[in-house]
Amino acid sequence: MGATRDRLLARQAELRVRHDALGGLGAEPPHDPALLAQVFAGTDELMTVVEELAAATARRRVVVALALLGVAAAGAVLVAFGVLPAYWLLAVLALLVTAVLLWLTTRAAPSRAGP
Amino acid sequence: MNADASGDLARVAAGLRQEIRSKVDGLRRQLTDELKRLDRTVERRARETAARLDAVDARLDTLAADQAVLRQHVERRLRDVAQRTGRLEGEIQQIEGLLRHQQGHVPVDLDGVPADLRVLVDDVRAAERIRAGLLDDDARAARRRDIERCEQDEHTLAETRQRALSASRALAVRTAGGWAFRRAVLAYRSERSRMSELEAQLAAAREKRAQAEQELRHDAAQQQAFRAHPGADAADRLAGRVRDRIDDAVAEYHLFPPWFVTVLGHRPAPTRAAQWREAAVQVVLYRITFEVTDRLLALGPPPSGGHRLVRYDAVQAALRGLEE
Repeated sequence: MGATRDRLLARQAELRVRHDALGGLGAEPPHDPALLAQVFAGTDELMTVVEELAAATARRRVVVALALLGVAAAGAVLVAFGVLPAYWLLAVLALLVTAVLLWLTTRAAPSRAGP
Repeated sequence: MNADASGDLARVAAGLRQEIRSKVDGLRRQLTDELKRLDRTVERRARETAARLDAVDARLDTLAADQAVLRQHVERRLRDVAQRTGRLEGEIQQIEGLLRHQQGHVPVDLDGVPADLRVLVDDVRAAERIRAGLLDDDARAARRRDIERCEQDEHTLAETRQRALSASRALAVRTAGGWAFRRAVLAYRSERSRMSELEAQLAAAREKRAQAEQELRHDAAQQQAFRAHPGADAADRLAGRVRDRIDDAVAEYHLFPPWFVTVLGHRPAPTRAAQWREAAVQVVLYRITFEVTDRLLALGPPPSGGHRLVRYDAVQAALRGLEE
């Protein structure tokens, strides 16, 4: 995770350099086609790292959602056997809702970006 | 005046008032009766008049219907008579042609090109060949649309590229993972995808534009060549010579060839001789220009397209104008 973030920052710095080479951050068209291609290539590389980070985040979210589901199931079983009082069901329900929301927002995230 | 006299006067006045009132009432009743009687009379007469008007309307409708039927009948008869006259005219022309043929008359040769006209006709044919290669207005407009579409695509691509570049700039300078950075990720993803689509689209549009530009350049050169060619002016001179030949043939009562007779008859109708002559000139010019040698069809088989089809349609329109 840390390595990927370092790569992201490195790509970002590299992209900034390419933008500077294109004519500064306030550059106006028409641009040099070769420099422009370098900028877009650099941005695509940056986007690849961003997607990797997004994929890792999505994986973590799925793991957390599954863990929450497991805890909720265990809580429900404990309430069913009378180990925990009935009002613990509210906490179980809250965990369930959180897990489902986490799962749904993870599924909604794009799996891949870029051309 | 004493009290008795005053009382008498009052009684007389009351009696007079009573009498006047009764007379006024009588007159009012009389007038009311009279008015009612007049009202009834007027009403009866209005009903009678309305009934008469209805009867007149009905008669007018009947008359109009009869007139329409009569008009149709007359028109039918007139068409019938016109057809018979046309048939008779054709038969007379055929008999005339047969008689002349038996007498040894040879149909006038309108297809042949005399030696003195050979150069003129060659020029006209050469000019016509150049014109056949010209684009028509629709084709030119289509080529221009191709060029405009390509320019429009280039403009759209430039705008999309600029937006993608702005998003890229934001990605380069914004804090990674921040709100602005994430918005830039979404924007860049969308614009980059659109850019790729547009680039593919533009590649095809550029090919079409190059082809369209080449065709338009060629067309402009052809137009220039056509304008500079002596054949463009020669067509008018040739038309004049053809007109003279037709005038001579009509004046000398020459026999016209079958392809001529099938569309123009042997002689012009007195009422539209000028129109007949121009149509005849167009037919003969068409045959000479496009080297039509069909013995029965004046214009030969219909062409598939190009400028020759335009000329074909124009001559056909002139011939149809003679029939109206």
